[in-house]
Amino acid sequence: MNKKLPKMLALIAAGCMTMSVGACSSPGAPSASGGSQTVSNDASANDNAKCQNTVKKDGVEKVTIWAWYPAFDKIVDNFNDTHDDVQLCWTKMPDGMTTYQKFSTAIKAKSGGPDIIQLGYDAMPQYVSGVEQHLIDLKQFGVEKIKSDYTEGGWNSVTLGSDAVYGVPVDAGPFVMMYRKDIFDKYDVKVPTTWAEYEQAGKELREKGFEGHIGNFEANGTGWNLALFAQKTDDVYSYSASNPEQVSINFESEGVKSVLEYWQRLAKEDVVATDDSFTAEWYKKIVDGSYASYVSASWVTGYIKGVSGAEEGSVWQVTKAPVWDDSTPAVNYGGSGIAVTDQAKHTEKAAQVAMELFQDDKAQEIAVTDSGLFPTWVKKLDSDAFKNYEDEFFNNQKVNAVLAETAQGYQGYEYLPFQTYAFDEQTKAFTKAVKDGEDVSSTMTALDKTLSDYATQQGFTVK
Amino acid sequence: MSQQQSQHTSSTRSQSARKVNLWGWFFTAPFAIIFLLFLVIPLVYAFYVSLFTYTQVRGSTFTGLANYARAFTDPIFLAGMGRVVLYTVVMVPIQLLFALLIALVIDSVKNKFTAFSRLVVFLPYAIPVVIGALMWGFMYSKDMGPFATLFDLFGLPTPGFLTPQGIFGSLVNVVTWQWTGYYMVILYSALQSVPHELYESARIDGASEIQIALKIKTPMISSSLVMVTIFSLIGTLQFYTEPTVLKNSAPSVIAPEYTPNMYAQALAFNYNQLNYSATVSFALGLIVVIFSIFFMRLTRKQSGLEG
Repeated sequence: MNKKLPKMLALIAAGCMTMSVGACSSPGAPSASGGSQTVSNDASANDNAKCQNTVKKDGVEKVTIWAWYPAFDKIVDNFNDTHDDVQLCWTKMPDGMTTYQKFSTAIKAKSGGPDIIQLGYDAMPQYVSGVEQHLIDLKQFGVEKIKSDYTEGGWNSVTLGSDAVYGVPVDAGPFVMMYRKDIFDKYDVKVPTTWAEYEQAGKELREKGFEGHIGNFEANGTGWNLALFAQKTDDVYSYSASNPEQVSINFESEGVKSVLEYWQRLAKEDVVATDDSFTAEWYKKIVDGSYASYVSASWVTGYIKGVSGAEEGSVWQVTKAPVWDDSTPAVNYGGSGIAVTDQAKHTEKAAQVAMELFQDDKAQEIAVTDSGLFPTWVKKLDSDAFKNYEDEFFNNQKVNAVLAETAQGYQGYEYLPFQTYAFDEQTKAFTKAVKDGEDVSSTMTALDKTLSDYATQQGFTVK
Repeated sequence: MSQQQSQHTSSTRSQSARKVNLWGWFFTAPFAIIFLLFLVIPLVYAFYVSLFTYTQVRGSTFTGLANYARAFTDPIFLAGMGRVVLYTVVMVPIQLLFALLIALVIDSVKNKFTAFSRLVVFLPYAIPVVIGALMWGFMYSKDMGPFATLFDLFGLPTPGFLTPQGIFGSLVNVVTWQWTGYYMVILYSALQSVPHELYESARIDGASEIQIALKIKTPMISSSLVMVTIFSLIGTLQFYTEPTVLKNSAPSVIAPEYTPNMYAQALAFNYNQLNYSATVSFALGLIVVIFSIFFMRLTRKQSGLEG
């Protein structure tokens, strides 16, 4: 016995070391469907909450929020300055992915979540599907009366195809082309307006000695890839919170295939780069002149404004994204809203804060100029200040003339209730098709099957 | 003290023995409590959790070992497992050979540089794994890293360290760089405890330094070699930190389920599948235990754990 004990302990320890990941979970219990019914009423529960911001007024009820908007501290301060009955307590999140991980963990733990949370539109369905009902329907708190203040696309993004309203829309992501006017001028190449011209311009730039690429295809682009498809086909994903046990997935349409075949060809001919997005390298290449243009959502500029290593004398301009033909719709990539969670300590107060936070000229001003957001608040969109806003980054171009027109085309997209998984599988499939040059058709068939199998395994009906 | 003896001793002696026993428990308690609280209980709990199946539509239901059947036929888990086994086969021998070689050289050559080179080889281990991986991620960069500048100097294209073809070698390099020094120090200290008389008699018998290193020193530290191999084996099967950090530089090259540990993490925190994640973790733990037992049996003579 004595001889064997150390060995056994060593083996148990070896086994234990692998356990750190899955060890803190609990089998969840089913709950009612149709949005969370959990309404709480404890005004003092957040009194000792830790905040990123300095709370301006003491002895007042606090509401907690998780968000990752750039320059959000100013928006929080603005809210706290203008409110005497409630103060906002902000926890800064690094990005969407981390926020969803933390929130999902808090859901499992049944505590630790915020009252209000920023959620990308693509992340909302996972919190209102099947047994997972964690967002409060704001209808009971009178959200309908502010409905007309928001764009249709924005509002559709938070109703998730149901009668309920799961959040307040904040921003959208008009899909446009940002380009380096100085590069196109230097090599005397016309800025493309269609994808055929884009391909041509890419080749021309290279022939005339430009060492970079006209643009980039990001296989891990998640919603970016969906925006490209949306130019040519209906939603690849469908899901409605009013029918929370059914999904549909369609990567096998001609639209999806022709879009991917186009990029496959451009990648093969080295007309475009195929760098992964949101890596340090990608940020640098956008600003250092490695890409002559960047087709993406307007909010991307909010992230690249401060990147070091920018090329001297860069002249950025924004224009409409290239189209396939005259019937190509204007599309959108990303955007987010704020939702009230079922862990809110004082649900009614949280709902009131969520509805008021961006219903404010000053807050919208900060959101547009400092955070680089494109608003969904009609009053802001219609204001002269917004229409005539000259963006310094874009060489004082009146960018919103271009953006607003694009934004009008957005009617809201649908996403799966397991979108994170779907995005990961998407990345693998697009890497194969575009970067490795494998057959597009069979890759998409395989992707369709993988996602459908997963949906079935999770208990969804696949239409 | 053997049992037969203690039966014959007087009552006072058995009392004092009991007291000694009590003190023994007392001194073990801090470890035992932590061991129970943070290792045994979570382990049992994770196993309990792994017996439930969660689906987004129906919630959790008790399904017994069904998750294990799923895990061992899950192509993603098996592919990840295959990947770490491949890493083990390549990485463990490389690390051990380098560590042994350096330990033997440092042990044989005694001059003022010995202590210095020992420190230099050990230094990478003193750098936190995440920092080390971040640093290599930067160095591997196609456009920003020092290798890019270096290769550019000779007019050569930078090798694709972070491409599907290059990533295996790149990761092997990071891990070898980090851990070789640590294993070297263990082997080196084992070499210090070998009695020098052995070398002297070997020299008198006409053995060369290389013969001494291979025929005397290496067999004398075989139990340390076995221990180091097991460390390296377990570490590699649980490969996680380095690929996770490098993933930020190459998201489409390193999939979220690149290794079983990464798969468990993605399942639990990205895909909301805690139960299946517990299963995958447990299955991985089981495989690590099997590998370790197999290796210990194989090296029973050398390890000194069994007589």
